[in-house]
Amino acid sequence: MDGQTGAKGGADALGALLQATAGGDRQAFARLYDQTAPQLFGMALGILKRRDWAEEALQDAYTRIWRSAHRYDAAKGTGISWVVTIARNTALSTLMRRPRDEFAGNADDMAQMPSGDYDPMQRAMQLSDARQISGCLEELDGDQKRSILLIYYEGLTQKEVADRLSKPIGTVKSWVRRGLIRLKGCLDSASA
Amino acid sequence: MRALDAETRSQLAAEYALGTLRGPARSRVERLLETDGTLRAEVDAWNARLAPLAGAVKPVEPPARVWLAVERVIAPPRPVPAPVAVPPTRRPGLWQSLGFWRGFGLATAGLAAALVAVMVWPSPAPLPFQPTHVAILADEAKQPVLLVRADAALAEVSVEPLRRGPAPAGKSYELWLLRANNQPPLSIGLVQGTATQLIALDRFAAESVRSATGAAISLEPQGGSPSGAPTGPVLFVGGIVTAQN
Repeated sequence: MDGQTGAKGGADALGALLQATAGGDRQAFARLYDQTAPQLFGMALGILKRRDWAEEALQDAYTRIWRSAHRYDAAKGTGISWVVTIARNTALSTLMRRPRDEFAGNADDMAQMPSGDYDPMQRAMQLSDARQISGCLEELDGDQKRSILLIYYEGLTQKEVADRLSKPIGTVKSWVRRGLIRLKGCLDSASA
Repeated sequence: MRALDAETRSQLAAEYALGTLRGPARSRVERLLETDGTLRAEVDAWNARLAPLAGAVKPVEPPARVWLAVERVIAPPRPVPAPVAVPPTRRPGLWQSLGFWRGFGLATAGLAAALVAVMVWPSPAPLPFQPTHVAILADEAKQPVLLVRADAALAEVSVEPLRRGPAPAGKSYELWLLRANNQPPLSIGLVQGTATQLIALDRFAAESVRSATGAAISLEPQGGSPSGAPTGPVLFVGGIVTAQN
């Protein structure tokens, strides 16, 4: 379960900041924000596609992190893993309240998207600090890999993936299901 | 709610962590997570497996206003203001007076506003928040059952049982915000009904408090409504009034 991003220098520095935050240490929380906010904001933008929503989700995410830092359990994962999970869940909740058709007419916001010249799905295959997951993604079929990464980075539903790839929903569902099973098998055997 | 078989549980955990469940399906897993430790462990494991993918996201510096807004929320609790003068006839002893409550019914704005001074300040344990909105939820017999207070700025709700105990075995009480313009009720969370409880609101819910018309408790399957909307009978209901300003 090692090899997470952000855990620099071996020890889990972010986990330590989270534990200090749980004790009410505002300076530790501010450092945690400085070290993680750009990454979490980039992630929220990928899912929400609008800066205003992404800002709202980011604010909610850090409010949740502050309030529930005491629930962080180092035995269950690294600090960055916990923080990323909260940020993604918050972005997905924001998305659920704001149907995607509200995107219409927001060309300016779309133009600010960090996509185009930068493709996280490409980068995912070259993650130097997470060779394990890159290697395991390589073992998936192209369609399985693409579906899983579209869901992860853009917060698409399986239906939306099916529309994007012009494939039947049933096909996408089985790609995702089988892809996840293979990913689990690969990651768990690599870390065993 | 029936127990999940192992395969369904694993699949739900993976799809939930990946983020492909949406709407009622996602809400349902979130409710299951409150009670199903095995599911929680599987979701935790998936979150840890997938988190390295976040390293491929291009970092984008957020504007300073985000941190400023966060900082406001985490600021040290404001001192609880001195209690306002309680009219001499409105003493906590009235809580025990049935006659006082008879015919009380749904808290109308006027009546509840008159009671705010009584409701808010003699509370035995001062809470580190300042209620902006108050609702008294009453049962069918018009007896007050729950005192619900919200601090919209702090995004927290306090739920204080006035009578009654926990939900019947196998059931949960779920608190809903009733919203104007036929918008569907917004789930605030599960209510134990046994002790005063603080529930954190997300920003959308905190904003919704300001324009909500009332609050209600419905009886739901254990773990809460499987659909994200009330499914069981509405047991307690009351109007919301602004507590101050």
